[in-house]
Amino acid sequence: MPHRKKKPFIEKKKAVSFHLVHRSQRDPLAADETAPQRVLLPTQKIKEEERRAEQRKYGVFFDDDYDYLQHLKEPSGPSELIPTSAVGAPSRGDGREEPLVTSTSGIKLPSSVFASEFEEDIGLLNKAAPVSGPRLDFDPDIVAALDDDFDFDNPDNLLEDDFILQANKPTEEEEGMEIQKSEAEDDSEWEDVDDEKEGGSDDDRYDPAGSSDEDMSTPGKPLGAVENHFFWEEETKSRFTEYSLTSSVMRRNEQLTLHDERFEKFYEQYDDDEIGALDNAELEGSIQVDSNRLEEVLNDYYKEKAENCVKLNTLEPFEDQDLPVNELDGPEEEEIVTVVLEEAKEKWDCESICSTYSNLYNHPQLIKYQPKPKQIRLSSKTGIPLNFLPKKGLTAKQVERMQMINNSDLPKISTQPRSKSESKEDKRARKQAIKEERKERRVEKKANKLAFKLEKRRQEKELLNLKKNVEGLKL
Amino acid sequence: MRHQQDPVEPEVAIHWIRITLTSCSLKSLEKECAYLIRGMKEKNLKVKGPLRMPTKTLRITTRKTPCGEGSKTWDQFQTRIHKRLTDLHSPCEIVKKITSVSIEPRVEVEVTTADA
Repeated sequence: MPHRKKKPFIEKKKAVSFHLVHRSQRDPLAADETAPQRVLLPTQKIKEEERRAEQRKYGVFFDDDYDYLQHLKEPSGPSELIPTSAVGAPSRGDGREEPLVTSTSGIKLPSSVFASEFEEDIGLLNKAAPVSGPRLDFDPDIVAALDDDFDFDNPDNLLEDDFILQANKPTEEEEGMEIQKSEAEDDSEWEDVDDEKEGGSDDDRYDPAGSSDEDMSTPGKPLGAVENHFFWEEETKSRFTEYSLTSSVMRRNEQLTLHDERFEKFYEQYDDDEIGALDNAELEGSIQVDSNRLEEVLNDYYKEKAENCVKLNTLEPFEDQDLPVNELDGPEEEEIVTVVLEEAKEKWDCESICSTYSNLYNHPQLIKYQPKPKQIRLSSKTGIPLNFLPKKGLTAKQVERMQMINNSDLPKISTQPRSKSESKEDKRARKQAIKEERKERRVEKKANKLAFKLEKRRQEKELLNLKKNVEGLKL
Repeated sequence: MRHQQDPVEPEVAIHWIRITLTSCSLKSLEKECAYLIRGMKEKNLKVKGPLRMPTKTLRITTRKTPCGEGSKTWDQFQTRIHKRLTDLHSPCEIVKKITSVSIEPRVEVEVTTADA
């Protein structure tokens, strides 16, 4: 390439690179419409090995390209508040753009392009999110109103017509009034829940046994300062005190308290001292053989048995005359003991069972093996199916001839033993002779084969013709 | 006589700025790229047009089945990563312009600056 030495566009060693990202929700300028909603975030160009070494320090032993350091958080120990000078940062306007010098010298970019140094704790979106759950910071009368538990008939609960003006008045005047008002409201509310308790301020003689001993403990209830010492004397434990903390934190209105009391009453049934009969419960333990309980049990058993068994002497004689009388006499005096005797069962197998069948109806037969019928193949020579024509056996004449001595029995050189002292010429001569014999024999064989083939074909044709034309002719 | 430490007066420092656009979706990438370059050209800046890097294809070929049963059918998944480079030769204030440019959702933008 001719332009190899051309100066590159950007020298990577001096360059700084950034990612263009959305502004963080915790950035106070996120709400600012004039500020750009995207900021430049400098990229971290830590080398692979360094990053991995850093990760291994914290117990991450993976060796892939992923940056696990981004998920690690610094341990937040006890921190101290130090006033920073960055409080003035969000107040910087749009007009002034102070140049921000980045870590590598020489590059200057306007600061509005970067994220603010100061970040709030709660992001913009999180602030707008609605709060769920029990709101303990609300006034109890507000909560009561929200729960539809508001006593509209109580004259103290009504708002004056100019309540806003009253609320906006300077607080010094209204403090006394407001506290009184809230106390009065507390008292009235206390009355709603607890009818027996007089909302009096100076009632020293409070009877703890009286009203709400078995109620759920409600430490979350707002109290006037006067009623404190009565509350601690109360027995506020219920059956469910140990169960959970959250339910005691929730405010109880009338209906809920009633519900709780009902449940408490209902649960009394399940207290330990009132358990019913233990008919089906299994008991464990040891008992003496001659103890009273066991004897009682045995006596009960005998009584039952005695009732159940039928006494024969209470029976009346059967009035049928046909039956022999003897039958009733014998066993009357004895006690009937039924002994069940099982006879020795005979063991049958299928063969013996089958043999008991009569041969009139049962005709056993050996299962025949039916091989697949073979496909008919035609002889290529004759055109007729193979194995069709009957094979002709040997005739008497042929047998005779076979027994005769013929010239094939004559001694041949190949059958003669080889002499031990054989010269080379003799060997050569012998071998030559053997070869000649073999040659002749081959010729003979060929001639024989041909002759036989022709003869066989001729005979088959003859037979076929006979079969076709002559057989079955009725003369 | 100009004060060298006057922060208010803008210094006209020319920088090389390289903007890298990466995306898996070609359509949004081309749109974004065209938008950027058009914006730059309107301000008569020296812009070097979108340099298209070769697109990388990440392929995953797996069996379709969660078990081993059935005729062996295979799924071929791929993701294409497209990359475009744009070079600018302009003062720093333009960088602010980049931040206010509306960006398509699936495009990743990286800005690299070096001294002129």
